[in-house]
Amino acid sequence: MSSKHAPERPRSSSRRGLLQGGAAGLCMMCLARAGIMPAAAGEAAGAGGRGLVRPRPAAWFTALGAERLRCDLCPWQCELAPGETGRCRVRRNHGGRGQTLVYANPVIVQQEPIERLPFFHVHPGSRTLAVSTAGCNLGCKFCEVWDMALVAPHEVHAYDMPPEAVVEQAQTAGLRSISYAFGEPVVFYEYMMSIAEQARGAGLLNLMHTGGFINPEPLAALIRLMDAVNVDLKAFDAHFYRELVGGRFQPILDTLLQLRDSGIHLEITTIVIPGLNDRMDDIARMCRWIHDELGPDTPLHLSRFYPLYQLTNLPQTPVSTLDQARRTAMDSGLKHVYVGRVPGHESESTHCPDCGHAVISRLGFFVDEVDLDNGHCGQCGKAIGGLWSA
Amino acid sequence: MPRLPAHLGSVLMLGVVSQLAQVVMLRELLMVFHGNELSIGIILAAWLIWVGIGTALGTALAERSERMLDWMAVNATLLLPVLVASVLATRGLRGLFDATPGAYLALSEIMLGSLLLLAPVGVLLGMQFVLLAKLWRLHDANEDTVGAGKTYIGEALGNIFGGLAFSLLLVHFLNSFQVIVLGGLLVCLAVLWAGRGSQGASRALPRAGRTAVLVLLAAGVLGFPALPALDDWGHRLQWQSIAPEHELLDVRQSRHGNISIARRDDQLSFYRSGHLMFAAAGPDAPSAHLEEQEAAVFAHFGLTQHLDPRRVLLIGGGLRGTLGEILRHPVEQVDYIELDEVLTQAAREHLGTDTLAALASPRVRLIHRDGRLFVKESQAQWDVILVDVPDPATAVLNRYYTDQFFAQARARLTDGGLLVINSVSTPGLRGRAVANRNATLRHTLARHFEQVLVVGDHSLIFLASPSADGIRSEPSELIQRYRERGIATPAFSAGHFALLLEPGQLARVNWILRHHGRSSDAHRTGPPAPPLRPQAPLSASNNDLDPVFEPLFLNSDFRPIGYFHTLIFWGDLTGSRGAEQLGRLLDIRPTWLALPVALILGLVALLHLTRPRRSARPDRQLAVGLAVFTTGLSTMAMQVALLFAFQSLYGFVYEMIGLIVAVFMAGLASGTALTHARVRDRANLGMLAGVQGAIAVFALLIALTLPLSALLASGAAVFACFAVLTFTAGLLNGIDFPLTAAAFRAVNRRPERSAGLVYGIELAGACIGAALASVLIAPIMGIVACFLLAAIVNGTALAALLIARR
Repeated sequence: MSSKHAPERPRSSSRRGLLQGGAAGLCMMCLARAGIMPAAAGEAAGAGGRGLVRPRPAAWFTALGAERLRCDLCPWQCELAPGETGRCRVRRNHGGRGQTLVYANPVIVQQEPIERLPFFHVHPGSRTLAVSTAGCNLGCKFCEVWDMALVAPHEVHAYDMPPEAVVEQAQTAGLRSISYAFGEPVVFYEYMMSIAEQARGAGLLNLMHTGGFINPEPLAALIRLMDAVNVDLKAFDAHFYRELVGGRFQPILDTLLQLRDSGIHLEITTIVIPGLNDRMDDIARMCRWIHDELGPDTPLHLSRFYPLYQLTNLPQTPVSTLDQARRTAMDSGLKHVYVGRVPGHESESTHCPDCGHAVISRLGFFVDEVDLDNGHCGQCGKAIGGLWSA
Repeated sequence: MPRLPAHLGSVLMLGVVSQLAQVVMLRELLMVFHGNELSIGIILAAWLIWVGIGTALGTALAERSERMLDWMAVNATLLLPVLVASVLATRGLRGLFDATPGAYLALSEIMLGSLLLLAPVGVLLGMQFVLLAKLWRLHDANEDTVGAGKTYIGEALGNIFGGLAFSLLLVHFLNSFQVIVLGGLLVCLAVLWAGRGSQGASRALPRAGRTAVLVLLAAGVLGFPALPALDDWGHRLQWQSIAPEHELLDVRQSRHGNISIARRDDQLSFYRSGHLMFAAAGPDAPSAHLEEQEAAVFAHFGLTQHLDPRRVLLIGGGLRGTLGEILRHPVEQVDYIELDEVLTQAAREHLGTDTLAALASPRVRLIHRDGRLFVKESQAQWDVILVDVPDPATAVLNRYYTDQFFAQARARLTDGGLLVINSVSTPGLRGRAVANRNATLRHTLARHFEQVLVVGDHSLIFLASPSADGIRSEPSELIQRYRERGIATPAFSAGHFALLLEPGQLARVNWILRHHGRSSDAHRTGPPAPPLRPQAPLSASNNDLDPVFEPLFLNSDFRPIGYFHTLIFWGDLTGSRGAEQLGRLLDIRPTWLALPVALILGLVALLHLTRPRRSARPDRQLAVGLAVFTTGLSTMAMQVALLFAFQSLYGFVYEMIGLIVAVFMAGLASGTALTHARVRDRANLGMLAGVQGAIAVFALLIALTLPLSALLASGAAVFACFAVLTFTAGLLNGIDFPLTAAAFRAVNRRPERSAGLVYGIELAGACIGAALASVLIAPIMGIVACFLLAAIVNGTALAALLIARR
């Protein structure tokens, strides 16, 4: 499909009802509609504007009759009447045809240290081109990128970047990988697939950091193009997923198992939130499951929570809680457990599980020193799982 | 000398208990909501609505019954348990809404919660006013509204007393339950006194009523010692929905709010009025420095930017670890300004040894004072000024982020000095509100500083230097300086400079903030996306950029737009559509006022032209009602605006604010007394029109002269000037009440109804005036616009009265 569709003009927000009660409500009576006009799509790749949207036919839609569609990309399986958009805000039914609103209009296209994603067992110290769009099929109350992920495409500025431009950007910058990260890549599935196909052809790695809320069939197709995946396992608790993530728990486990079966390199990230998902019993259960089902070599990142988005009034995770969680994980048999977002913490570095030698020393997302010999510990020769070779 | 009526005590106590209940409920509700002006406005509006409904019910009752004392006894008997239940219910409100721990309530929940919780108290207190006004009329054996005027004066005096007693005394020694029970008991005592049976019209309270009040009184007195336990239980109940599985270690009352300290593992979290201020390491923390890493980054990054920081000013933040980290540099003296002494005391008792050692250091001068006032009055010079206060979420906090403060700070910096501030952000600054706010801070700094560099992602550090070469954006030189100072702390290392100054993030953030806010619709379109390869931040030139759109992107004392942007950002964080609705307010235009003004005047004219020959003169009723409303609105808008201006020029001093409010109430009482003495019950639309004109002229004069007040150098002169203006505003408001009540009565011949109407309408106007001024007009259009608004609305009332008078 070419990109000849005219950029969609975002609708102005409909006039909202008056705020009821209170002086603020009275103030609202004087309000005029705030129109949000899109900037025209830039002519050159990279230029863009607010509300840049190019609707494009999308896969994984099933016709239900009477122009109704079901989106089978993720477990929500939204059933959409013509004109309706799914929970992700980016996939819609346009006159009985399924469309994606996030093709070639990324909000993020930026170089990042690979450790920032975080991938700690993939080409340490390298830089990657991170790509992401608006939209998400979850609704975490502690979302770090809520002003991109939890909004519709017409509400943010985006770049005009067809897949080939993204790949070219990565190649020009001399990067070794493209990462679909920082937002939720599942929702820009078609765009990601297009980039990934071209990237693979160009010899670049494809990396994805996802919430893992995707159906098995689209995931199977995706896995074939990915080289490494980091999945957010936000808690080991269905209630937490329901109340704080706005999703379901079991599909995430299913995704992890499918990734395991594919043999792809897998890392896991859990943000430890004080009082909400930091019970050591739960963390121990989670780690035992990871150990038993995914393998003891699966790297686990236990990240510090900072007051964010809707959980602004909750204090950051005590470092001692993170230490305790890490000990719990190690006691469960996991070999590579990292403490994230505490730059300077000793558990940021990768240690050989046999001899304890620091094979990769880190400060935050910067790598100080790597002592790996083709994926083996520089001291005892133990093989460390990951993508290391040039 | 005429004998004082027996129910005078009840009138005074109505003022006292109203004030105490309002302050206590406000403090309790702000624990649940958010301490910004919008929350306060909504709470006050809900209060007003229920007081107004109570006034209407009281009017209906007073017109049908002569047994005012009986009803007062019923009212007083209900009031005390209702007050206690309201506070308890407030503490359980988050649980009722099933609010996510750590999450703010949405706007709709704030409105609903306020309306639910304030209903019983507001209704009971609203009823009391009319009951007491009638009691006074019966006592005077008149058919006029003079008794209502006297009640109005007495209540105002009670308000003054209650307000001062709370802020100067009660808040330091009593918890919320004790304060309201004390107020409730005083009301009961006053009713018993009024009903003791020796006063003519205030006939004796029947035995049943007396017994009920006595039983309640006894229960209140006997139960008083149990109130700390109830308070403690209530706090723990509430705490479970704020931060579950955090042990509530200590709760203290400060005049700036309730301070709670919670513990989880070895971390202590400090909350003021239910809102997280900071978390720090407890005494047992093995990794204390990592626990306080954000503070360490702020301190070391800021101080290393200076070649040789000897004298440092730190405003806020010392207790979260910033002070201890500053002392690791070879500084000679740190002036540490902390507003709240109760907070410092609590921290001394709970925090780890590092902070205690820092506070005890001979190099530290701890000063409990308002930071703005301190900087304004100080003649000292500092090498680095670090402002580590919360985001500009309120008008008071916003004062640390304004044009005027930055100018004052720059004047106090030595050659090569640096100002460092911080604020919350999002990594890509894609949200409109967060980008608007942070671009505003950046542009406001850039007016006074040659170089401004913004560093960070979730939290931004703004470095500002008066010289063109005072800031380093490359890590190498900073690493060298840091190493030369021989600093060793686990929380920060030379490597952190590379993390902070990661070129991609640094260039993007600075590009966005530099480019955003340069068009009149920038607040709506949001920040532009940075180029894929943005220029290095300090090499970029502003020459090719449009000028900053100052009305919405320059934060000043007289137009504190910074806190309005923060208010919208807060709307974003509630996860509701509140931000979208608030964001539209930025587009208000002064000309929009023309339509309601024209409509109102047109309606009055229409009613006047079509009036029946013998009728209740609806045109006059509307005109008088409008006069009451606009007087309430404009005097309150002016009071808020005066408080803003006073804070900016003088500094925020809590006692002074209390005094200013007391001065307003004194003016109000004096005005009412003055009119009452001269006018009695003579309806005089001409005089009322004159008062409206006087208020309009007064407001206009302040609007014209307020900018000149910045020339006042002496603190005493500033205070005297604002005290006179505030008293005058109160006086004009007070004059209005008896005139309008008499004017209403002249039309409807119903004294209680007239008094109740005026009381309710004026409260409505006052509340809307406060909300309009503090939430909308002052931040978006400026403080002067509040006075212009007052002049316009009172001018409208004047015109309406002149039309109706004919």
